[in-house]
Amino acid sequence: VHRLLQRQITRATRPSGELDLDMLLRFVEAAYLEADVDRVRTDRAMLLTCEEMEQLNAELLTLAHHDALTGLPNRLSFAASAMAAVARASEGDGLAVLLVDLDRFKAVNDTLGHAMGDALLCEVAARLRAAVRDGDTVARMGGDEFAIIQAGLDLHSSAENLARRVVHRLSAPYVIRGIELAVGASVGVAFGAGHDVDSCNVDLLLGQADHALYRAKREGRCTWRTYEPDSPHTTHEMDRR
Amino acid sequence: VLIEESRWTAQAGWQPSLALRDDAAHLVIYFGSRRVLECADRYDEMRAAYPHARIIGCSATRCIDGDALDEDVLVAVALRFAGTTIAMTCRRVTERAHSRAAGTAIGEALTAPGLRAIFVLADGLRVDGSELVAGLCGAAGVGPLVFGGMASDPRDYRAVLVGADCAPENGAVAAIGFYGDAIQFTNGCVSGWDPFGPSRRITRSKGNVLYDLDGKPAYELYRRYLGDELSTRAASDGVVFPLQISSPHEPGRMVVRAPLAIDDEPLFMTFAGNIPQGWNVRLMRGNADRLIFGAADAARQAGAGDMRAGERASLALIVSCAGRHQVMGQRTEEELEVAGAELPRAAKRIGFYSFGEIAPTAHHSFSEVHNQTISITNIFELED
Repeated sequence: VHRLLQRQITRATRPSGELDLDMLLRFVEAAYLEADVDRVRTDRAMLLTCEEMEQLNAELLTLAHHDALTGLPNRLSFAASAMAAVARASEGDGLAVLLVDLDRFKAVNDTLGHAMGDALLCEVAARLRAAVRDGDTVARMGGDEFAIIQAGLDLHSSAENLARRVVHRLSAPYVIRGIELAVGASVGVAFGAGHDVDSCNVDLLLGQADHALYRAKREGRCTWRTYEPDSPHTTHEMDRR
Repeated sequence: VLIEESRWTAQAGWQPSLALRDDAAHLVIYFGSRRVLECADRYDEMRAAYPHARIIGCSATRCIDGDALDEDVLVAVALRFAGTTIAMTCRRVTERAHSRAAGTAIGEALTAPGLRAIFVLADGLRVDGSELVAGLCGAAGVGPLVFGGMASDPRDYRAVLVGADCAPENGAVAAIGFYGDAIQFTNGCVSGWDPFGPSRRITRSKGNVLYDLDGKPAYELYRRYLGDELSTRAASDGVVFPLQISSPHEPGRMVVRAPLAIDDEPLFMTFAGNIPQGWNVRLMRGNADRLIFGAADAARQAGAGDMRAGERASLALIVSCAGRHQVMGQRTEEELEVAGAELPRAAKRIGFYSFGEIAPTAHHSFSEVHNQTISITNIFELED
């Protein structure tokens, strides 16, 4: 006899030795109900736990792919977006990579503190979001460096317009916690042609954009340059503010 | 040690009769339902039968007598030691905030050369067990084993009783100190509950009241998990999902906490032990099988210390959580049966279902108040 049933029989046995069948059935029914309740609790707990773990997984994925300060995609996410853009570019469209670096940002951090620096970076991120088209990718690569991927038709003029717009908007004064701040931005632009597999490579494009950014910094800051391998020292229209 | 067992029921009175008891006993430990203990006659009868003994006991939701689990009963053991001395002390706690001070006073009162262990019983409703034990252990130091439990009541959370050489009363903390080289204690304390789901941080709490986990009301979490079972009538439903709380600063220090009450206006939950802010928590889930295995583990640990198990008398004091009974239902006696099978054959077993178990665990040598555990302490004397 099962040990639980044995106990139930013992409890349902009168001092005379006679079994109280009604009492025994009540014990047995109660045991079934206890088991049912436990089963429902377990099912609900497992279901809710799965939901919670899925939600947690989604939150962790978001954290893993986004910059905690600005909410922009981070370098990891940028790499994935760039790979996807390169794959699409190989089907015909070209793509442009823009690297954006703030000018005089270190002075803000050094003189007003990191909290002000962080607030400024958030404002910069907001302005960058507003400057790009739907479908473009804006990411924070680290520190005060941001990157943009742009794809589509009329790429050269579109990317150059975007670079000009970014320099213009990020150089406009900021008012943060009642303090007016003035920083600038330098931009380097690189293009990958859809039909040219060799030129459409993420690392290569980033390297080229960085090279162009370096030129923009070297040639006065607060401006933009495109990467031109044949005439690397060609100066574009300056856009100083 | 010589051990005599007795039990009292309304139907049969004392069995066996107290008339022939060992009047030279040094210590009587008893547990009974509040309904039985509210009548001072039972204490008076024990006092008359054991005129020289210190008598300590408390009320309980259920009393443990061997494999049996009884409600309206009083179970008692009388012990006569061969080479052990004891001392008793008692404090009244009128305000919960005085719990630590009461623990400290008890620890200081019992600290003396040769102190081996302190057995403590406290009002499980009025006394903050975590603070009491912290004070007690702080005063007694790391040497003595501190074990015992928080007195409980049948189901209405109205009042619990603790007595030390008097009829049991509200708000009391009673403790016995054991002294000498002969007396031995081996202990096991295991929950059998399994943590599940994500880890959360306690972001707002005070004492044994929990407000927020990860910045959100803890009540909402329980509301989701309990579903239709949620009741604000205090306690019972939340017990099926206790919390495992762990210190972020002391790896391995984990304690189980069971909800005593869930209030929806304002949103907070009261637990049977402190809920330190900044600690991590996980929900726990148990079923009867896992809890019963836990009881076997606790008994194995408690029985492992006696190399001559079965050859000499020992007393196995069992303190199990009232919440375990709620989960195990009719299978509760199985945890007593498996514990009995793992303990030395000669061990006499009594105990009670509590509002908090006081014991160290295998992972943490300092005693704490636990919930949802079973704590078994095997007590015996070494011969010369």
